[in-house]
Amino acid sequence: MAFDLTTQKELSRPLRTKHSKWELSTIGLYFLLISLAVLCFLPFYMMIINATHTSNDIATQLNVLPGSAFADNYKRMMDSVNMWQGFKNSLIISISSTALAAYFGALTAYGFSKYRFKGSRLLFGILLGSMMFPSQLGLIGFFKVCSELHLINKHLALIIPAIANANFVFFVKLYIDAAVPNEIVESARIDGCSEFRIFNKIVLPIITPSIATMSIFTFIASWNSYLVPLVVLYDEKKYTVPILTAMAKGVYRTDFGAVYVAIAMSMVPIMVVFAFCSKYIIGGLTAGAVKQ
Amino acid sequence: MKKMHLRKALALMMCVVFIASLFAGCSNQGSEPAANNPPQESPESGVVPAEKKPEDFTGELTFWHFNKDEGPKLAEAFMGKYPNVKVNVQITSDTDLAYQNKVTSAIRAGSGMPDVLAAENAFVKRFVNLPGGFENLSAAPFNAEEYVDANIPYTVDIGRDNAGNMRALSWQACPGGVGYKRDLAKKYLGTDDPDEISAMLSTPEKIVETARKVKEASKGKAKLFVGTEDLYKIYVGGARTQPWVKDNKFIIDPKMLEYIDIAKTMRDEGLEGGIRQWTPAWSAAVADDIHMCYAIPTWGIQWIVAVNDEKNAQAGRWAVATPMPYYEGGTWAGISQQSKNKELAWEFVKFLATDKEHLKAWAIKTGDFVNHIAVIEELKNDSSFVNKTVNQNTYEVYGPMVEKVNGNLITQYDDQMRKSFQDIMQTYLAGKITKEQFIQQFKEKVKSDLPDLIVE
Amino acid sequence: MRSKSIQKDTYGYLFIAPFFIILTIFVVYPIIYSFGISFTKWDGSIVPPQFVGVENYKRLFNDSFFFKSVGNTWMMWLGCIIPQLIMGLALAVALTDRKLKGKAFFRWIYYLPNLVTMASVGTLVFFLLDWQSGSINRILLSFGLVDEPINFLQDIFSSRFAVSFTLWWMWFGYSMIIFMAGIRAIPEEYFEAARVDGANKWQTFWCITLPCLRPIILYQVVTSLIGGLTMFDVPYVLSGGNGAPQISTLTMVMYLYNTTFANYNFGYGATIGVGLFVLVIMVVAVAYRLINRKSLYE
Repeated sequence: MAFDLTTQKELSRPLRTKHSKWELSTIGLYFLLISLAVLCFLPFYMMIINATHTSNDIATQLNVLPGSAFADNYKRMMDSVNMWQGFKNSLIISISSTALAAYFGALTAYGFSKYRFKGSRLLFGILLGSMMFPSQLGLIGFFKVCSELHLINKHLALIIPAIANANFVFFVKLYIDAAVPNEIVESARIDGCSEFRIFNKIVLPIITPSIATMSIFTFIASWNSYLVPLVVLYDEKKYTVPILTAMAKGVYRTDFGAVYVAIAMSMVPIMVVFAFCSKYIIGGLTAGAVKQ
Repeated sequence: MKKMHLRKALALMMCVVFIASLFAGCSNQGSEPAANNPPQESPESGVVPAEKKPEDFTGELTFWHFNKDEGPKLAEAFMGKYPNVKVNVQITSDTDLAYQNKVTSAIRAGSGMPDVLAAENAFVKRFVNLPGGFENLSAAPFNAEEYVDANIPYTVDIGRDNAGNMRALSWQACPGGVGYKRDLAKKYLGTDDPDEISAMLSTPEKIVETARKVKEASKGKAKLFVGTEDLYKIYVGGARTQPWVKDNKFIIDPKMLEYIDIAKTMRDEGLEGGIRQWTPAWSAAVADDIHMCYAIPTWGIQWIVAVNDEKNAQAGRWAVATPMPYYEGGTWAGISQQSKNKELAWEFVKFLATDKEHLKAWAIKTGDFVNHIAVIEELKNDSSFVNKTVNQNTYEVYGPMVEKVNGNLITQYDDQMRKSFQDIMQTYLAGKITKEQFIQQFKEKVKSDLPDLIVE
Repeated sequence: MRSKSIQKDTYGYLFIAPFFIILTIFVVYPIIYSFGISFTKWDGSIVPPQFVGVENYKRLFNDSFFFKSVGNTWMMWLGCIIPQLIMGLALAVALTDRKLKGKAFFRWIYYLPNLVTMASVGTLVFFLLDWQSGSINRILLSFGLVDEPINFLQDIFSSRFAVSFTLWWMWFGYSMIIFMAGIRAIPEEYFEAARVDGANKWQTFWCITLPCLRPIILYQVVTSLIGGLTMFDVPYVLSGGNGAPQISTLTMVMYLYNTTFANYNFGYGATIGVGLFVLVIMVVAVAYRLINRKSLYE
């Protein structure tokens, strides 16, 4: 097995090149990289700058520098929607669904990866198929299920389905195939470990990088999810951040000062989390693709 | 590692800016006067004969509304008079049809509906015809027909289903006028008198003529209308004589063809601002010195003009002329069939739509144009009742228009029609397709959206 | 030892049971439900669906809007995926091969666009492109590059381009990260050998990096296909929901969504969904074959 967990920790693997550092092509490359970075950051910058301008300014001029209307915008937004309550709801939903997706996703991935049971190929095919189904279409049936189970207007309706996160399973299975040798499992069995103990005590620690990676993706997806919460939740007190962001716009007026404050508020936590976790993304992905 | 620091620093910087502004926001909060004073309701019972006094009603109601600016105030007014009742308001805005789909889903699920729900003009016709939705108010024990004599008939008729049963009641009438900026009118048209302006806009030809005059006088800087969609409102809500659908047949009224031509002329000659309604640019243009006219229905004075031009909201910069009768908008409310407390729910709906005292207080407090004929008469003749935004008595301005509103123009398909029509209209105005192609594409779209209609 | 592991294999069912119970309830059942609905005419109200046989499927095969939406979706997807892969690959090579400063920073910032909701991005792009008040027109006008503002969103090419570009902007960073992972997985000896043979960078790239990344490219094409064929938010926001101008940005899911939730034609909406589902499965099956032929994954 050519897999080596230490390779992923090397952040770079430069080829030793002969030419000097400040060659023209290097400068050109930096120029391209920086312009692309600007292109990537510009919309964020604009959203945050717009949050500090009045709706009128946003609509009539190109804002480059921060304005002074943030406080007013914030106040108007808070008058119309309770964003902090929304934060609490979104956090509850995103954290619990990420936790469920992580544990059960890893459990399922392990089941597919290390056990040869009848029908496993078929079941894995179903799992893959479910990834290809447009969620907008399932919405009608999903709502029906929720109302049968009395989950309408409850956060649970958004949390429980996270257990069946096919993307998570697909990715973590690839990682387990590559990173968890059968020998480890076998030797643990000889030592008399139960199957679940093997999973919890031995396998989980090994596959943590891939779980971390997918958890970040899952958290972001859950945080940004709009359509399903909108259909399932009725009560404003239970609304999530994206719904409140849409609501901040108002009915008769298009209060974009308030909307941008809401967008900025919903974005900043994700960006901060990502700034501190991004190394896990590349770490986990690297190992996932390393199998040879 | 330096690179790590740069990235974290960026994120942290944004965080700090953000939190700093939050504190700034908090410190400001106290100084603002409370905008929504609780209504000063008189405790005596209204004109409606009721065996029970308001205090005798107890319990809780759930009330669904799509507008956070209106729903809670309605509930407050009711609770002011019925002190032992609690109304829980739940707001879902209709962005991306969210409110409509929520209601539809709850009806389908057979549970989860509120006691009372509101419906807007754009979808009220669909709601009143939705099986399992609104309770039949014409039937006992509600006998709504006995209570609505004082309400303007067109508003009552819109709340009826296809079989003629009353399903929802309204408290508003929404005839429309043309709102304009007095200073611009004076500068470019020589007058700011509503009657004279009305005369200048009374026919399609005159509208174009006036628009040209504005363009000339301002050397091309000012525009008569902010966009073509404002004209659309006038045509679709008044000028035409047939609805989009009659006897399951799709009809394009000749007046709509006329509208297409006028809009095209205005676009080609640069006589309108080319701004689509409800966009931020459209809202911002309310306060500028370029775009003179908007289509302003009764509620528009508050929700189009005042909120977007706060500096001049009390200054009477605007005025409303009434060149062509049309109507736009309105809110209805009815009882859900799933309600467990229909007696109380009916009391709420009845209060909203027929309690004369409440309606008068509501009109004075919110500036809303209520649909109660006696209240309209009273306020029309009350010279002290002047709306500060337009410096006119709005009841005097809009009052005469009410009778001319044709309630038969409304169908349950209007919102879909408007969307399709306007989408293709914009392409036509941009010069990408011919008028024939426009009509053709519009028909194809309608056929695809509503396969049950007969489209010729 | 083998026999022992076979004994334990039934535990597999236990491990995957929670997942499949939830999947059945919340995903598989809704799919079957939709499939059933596709044979009916139903407006989504409490009036029960009315069975119409294959009526909806007949309509689907003669529906010019549906075929248009299929074409639009492919076109906008291709306009996004090709530059996305090229850019992702170029950046991945640049950021792994060179002695660059600030690699982690670039990686972070290129991935940022992938974090926000598509709807927020769409709204922003919509403002930028607005005819009368959009920033892009304002900049063009102030530099004297155009005399009249350009009505971007009424032009078929530029509105499709706007969708593709926005999606590219959101996803090239993701591609880059996956490619970087792939490049790291290439054994160092290969590069070493190339250097010994005197290959320059360009040759190394064509003869070693690219062939080794083939499966990663195919993997990306497949995952992006699933996402691309179900494209919704960005064209929805940019076209105001209806696929304007002239139905040129209407995607399959938008058509499905509008038919169901704006026009209350639940039966036909489900039929469009089934059509879409079949199309996705077919395309993915073909691509999966391609992957499995020469794959790192198997």
